[in-house]
Amino acid sequence: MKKNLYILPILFSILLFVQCTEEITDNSIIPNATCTDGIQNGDETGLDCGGSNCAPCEDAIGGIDFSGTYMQEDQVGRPAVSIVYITPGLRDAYNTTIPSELTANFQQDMQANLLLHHPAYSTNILGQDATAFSTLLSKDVLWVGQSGITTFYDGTNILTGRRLQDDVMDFHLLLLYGGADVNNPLNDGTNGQPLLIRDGVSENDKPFLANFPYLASPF
Amino acid sequence: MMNKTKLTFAIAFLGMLITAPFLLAGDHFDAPAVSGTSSDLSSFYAFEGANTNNLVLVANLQGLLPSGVPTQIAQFDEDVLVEFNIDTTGDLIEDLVIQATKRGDSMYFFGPVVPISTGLQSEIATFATQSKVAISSGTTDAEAIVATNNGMQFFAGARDDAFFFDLNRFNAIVSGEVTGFNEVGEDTFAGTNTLSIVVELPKSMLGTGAIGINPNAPTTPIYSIWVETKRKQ
Repeated sequence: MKKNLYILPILFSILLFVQCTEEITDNSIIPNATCTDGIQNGDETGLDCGGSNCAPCEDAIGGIDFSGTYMQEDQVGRPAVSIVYITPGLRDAYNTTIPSELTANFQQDMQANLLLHHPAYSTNILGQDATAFSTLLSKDVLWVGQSGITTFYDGTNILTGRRLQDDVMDFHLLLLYGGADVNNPLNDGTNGQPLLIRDGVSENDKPFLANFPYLASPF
Repeated sequence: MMNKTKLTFAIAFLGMLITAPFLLAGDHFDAPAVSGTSSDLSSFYAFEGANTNNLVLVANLQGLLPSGVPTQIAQFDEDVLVEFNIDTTGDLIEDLVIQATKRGDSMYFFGPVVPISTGLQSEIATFATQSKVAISSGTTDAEAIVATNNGMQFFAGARDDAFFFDLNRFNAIVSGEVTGFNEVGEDTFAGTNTLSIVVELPKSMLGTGAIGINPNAPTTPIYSIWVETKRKQ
């Protein structure tokens, strides 16, 4: 009987301890004791880290914190697409819409702005009407060839990348204002038409480098 | 009587009217939420490297930095993650990412790696290949710091803005002031800098790409690539 009286408080303490341990684990306040024993044990993926109980190993590489959640604020695929073809009030939404949903959400706005810039638009050198052209634009990622020349447009290759020297704005202007015939484009500054298919700036103000990091040094 | 909200809106709208011409550029200053911030992307480039087995990815941020003090004080933001997204199958969903973020005086890189999650929300894949390069602060090519790791090359720092365009003339056309460009234009971006992140990596790290994506090059295997900036919550 006396012996049992001693056991009762001990049992009670153990119950309390178990309860506390669970609470602490659930709230992730203090990691499991094995997380500080200097041994990789349990389901730890590294020494005292990872697994179901310990802090992730990867959260503090070399003492540097890379943890946390990052939310999207801006994105760029092809150059100048959102600027020329997206209504200003929709650009923040455009920047935070995943590429696979851009066509469903923005193709109509792009088509409207295309026709706002060029009301007489009929087709371009790719043979696209306003719907087809704005649909291409709305798939706003940069296509990059695994092989061959990687260029936005070099007179031959079309949308296979973007090199530093590519005159991407002239290609945009050609598609928007130049009509179907690349050899006899509209809006080329002749026959009483304005010059709209090129801006008269065909290269960067500073030469690029032949090797990494390719970009010119800063001013 | 105009309440505070309406007044704020009116001022903001007036500001938009005044600055509207500057909102038309590569992706420079494109949208109110990111315009002029540390997450504002100005341009993205992707091309075959001098070594034709390699691909080069360039993300430019904070465009139109004037030379001198404005460029010297421009900083990468430790709360901003720059993420190259690479879709190798043609469904516009990223299959691989290369993540870059600044800590201290260096830019840290992770990947290429299958992302922890696709879409608008990211975590840094610290289990992936890790690389880092000291952020360059010099203004000459000799001072450009380049790091190599696992067949890849890395650079981070201020560079000349590679974008060129007669933006002022374009704005004048859009606003109806003039009817067309001049045969010899004026590069609005001449003499300005950006903060650049450059990665060169073997194409073999990205797989083969998908054919039938580009109707203008239907047999060429294509990677669909874009760059995002994401802010720590």
